[in-house]
This record gives sequence, structure tokens and C-alpha cells, in this order.
Amino acid sequence: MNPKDLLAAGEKKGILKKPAAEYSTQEALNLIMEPGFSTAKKITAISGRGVGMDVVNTIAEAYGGKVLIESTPGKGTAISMFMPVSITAVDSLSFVIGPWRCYLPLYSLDKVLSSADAASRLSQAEDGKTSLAYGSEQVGVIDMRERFATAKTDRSFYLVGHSMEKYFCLVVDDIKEQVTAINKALPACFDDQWSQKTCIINGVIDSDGSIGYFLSAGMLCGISNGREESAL
Amino acid sequence: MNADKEVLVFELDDKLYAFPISQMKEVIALPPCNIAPMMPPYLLGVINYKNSVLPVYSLEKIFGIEQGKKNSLCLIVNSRLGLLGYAIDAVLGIRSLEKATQIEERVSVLPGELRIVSTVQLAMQEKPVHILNN
Repeated sequence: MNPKDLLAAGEKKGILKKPAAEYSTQEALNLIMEPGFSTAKKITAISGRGVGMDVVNTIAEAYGGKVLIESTPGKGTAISMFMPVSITAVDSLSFVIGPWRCYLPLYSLDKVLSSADAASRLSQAEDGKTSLAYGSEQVGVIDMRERFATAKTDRSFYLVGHSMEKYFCLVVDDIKEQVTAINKALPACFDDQWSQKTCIINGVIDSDGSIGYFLSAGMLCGISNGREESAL
Repeated sequence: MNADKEVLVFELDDKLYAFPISQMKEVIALPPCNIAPMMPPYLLGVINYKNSVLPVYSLEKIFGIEQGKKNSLCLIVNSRLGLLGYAIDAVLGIRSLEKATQIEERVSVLPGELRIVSTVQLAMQEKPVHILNN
């Protein structure tokens, strides 16, 4: 794949987030995982709509994996998918949202900010959505108390994390400790739609026997970057 | 005895219900339930059952009973959705359906993939028993 061709297609579709000249080769290659991105000139029954790689990437991220694209023009392309050997025991940060204890894997977390530290970084768009300045990025903020329909407390923390090369930011009530979270499958009554809505992918049995919830960095990233399904 | 013709009869809000004994795993004291975020309305919550996350269904919510007694027991039942818990008031015991008189054979599909498959009168019980299946 030629990064210049990818950038030209991205520019044409209006999905570039910065001037094409500022894209690294890797960032240009990662454009093929953007929803709706395609360089195909014709759409057929099975290809050309820019869905395939976006779906592959979203599913890989939901399970804590990632997709790596390497390509040399004229020689070939290698697409590698990395998945965790085990998603059973994950070094995680535990935190509190309303009455619930939740977990995110440490490898997906970048920074924890107190509400005082976050205040100067926050801005609100005309549509009411809040974003947090993180490096050169404006990261969409997800208030998990609203998402879980629970009352907000005075205390709040901002967790900045990533999935692949995109950031997310969520607001939670309190931070607890670093633990090895033992993931447990949730019962079937917690279906995919519930999972998409809550961003919970597994249960966690705490050391005291109580039940916590393991969040998906990939799903949070999708919501933070405005990729939530409209049906939810 | 034929396990398919035996049921575990239990009480809920002064009415009698039963699950086929073949679907029953055990009866435990109802532990405190953890409410999950945005959980389905017919759930009472989830519990740690032998180091797994088990959903506990509220039959009162499923049957639309507004203010029932405080549930004290939990039936652990095998279902198409895996193991489930049902919060109930009291267990009356195992009964045979061999001498039961069928009052009604009408399948009612309820939330949570639960069904009332028939209503019977057991010889030794005055009240009709609603036979459940999931």
C-alpha cells in the first residue's frame, strides 16, 4: 500500500484529523481501519465499503488485542493481529462508578487526573460534548455516571486511556488500587446490546467474593471518538 | 421414579409454582444480590455462585407482583441460557405429577425465556401448581 494514496483517499473522504503532511507512514497505513475508508473505485457486493478492517480492528480491541499493519509499496503488506494469550487474569486499575467497582487493564491506561487537574484541560463544544486536551489531542470525555444512570458525587477522576492509537477519557467517582483482575464470563442475559451500552465485557470476582465489572478499552474508545451505534 | 414426572414445588406470593426436578441443581439461601449497571428489569441482581457470576431472576418482577414477601431462598436451575437463579419464598418439596390433574395446558411465555407450560392440581395440594420451564 502506498501511504500517499491512502492519504489522498482519506483527504477526499474528509476523514483526516490533521494535514496530510503531518501523518507518519504508520498513521497513514492505519487509515484502512477507519470506518468507511476505502480506496476502491468500484463498490461490489462484498467489498469497497470500508467496513472489513474497521470491524476486524474493533473486535480485536474489544478483546484487548490490536492490529498492526506493515507495508512496503511494490513489495507487499503484512497485517498482524495480536491477541492476549489469556484474558482471564489482567493487571488492572480498579475504580468506582456509583455503587460499582470497575476495572480497566493497565496496558490501556495512560494517565489519571483529579478533577482539579483536569479542569483547565476541559472544553465544551457547541453540541454540549466535553473534551479533554491531552497532548495534541482533544479527547472525548465519557461520564460513566451518566452512562450507568447513577448519581454523580462531588469527587471525580478522569482516566485517560487508549486503544490502538486512539484515546478515550472517562469520568469515574474514585480510584482504588492496582490489582490482578480475574475475569469471569457474564451470563447470557447480559447481551451484546447491554455490553455496547455499558462498555462492560466481563465480570470480575473480587478478593472479598463480591462482583465487579471489567470495561472494554476498545468500546470506550469507540464512544469517545463518536463511533457509538446510533441504535443504542 | 421418572425424573421428568417429578417437580420441585415452591411458594411465591401465596401461589404455588414448580420446576421439573431434572432442571434443578440445588436450593440455597438467597445471598445479597449485586445490582449490575443497566441490568434487565426482571433481574434481582447477580451473585457469586461457586466463583462464577450467576444471574438471579425475580419471579415477582416477571409475574408483575408488586409487593411480595421477602424472598429467602434461591433455586439454582439449569436452563437454555446456562445456570440461573430464581428468588423464591419457600420450598414445599418434591412432588410427583403422576396423579396430578391438569387444569390448563397453555404455554405462557414470560420475560427471561421463562414459560408456564401447564397448571395442575396435585393430589395432596389444594392450590393449583403452575409448572415452569426454561
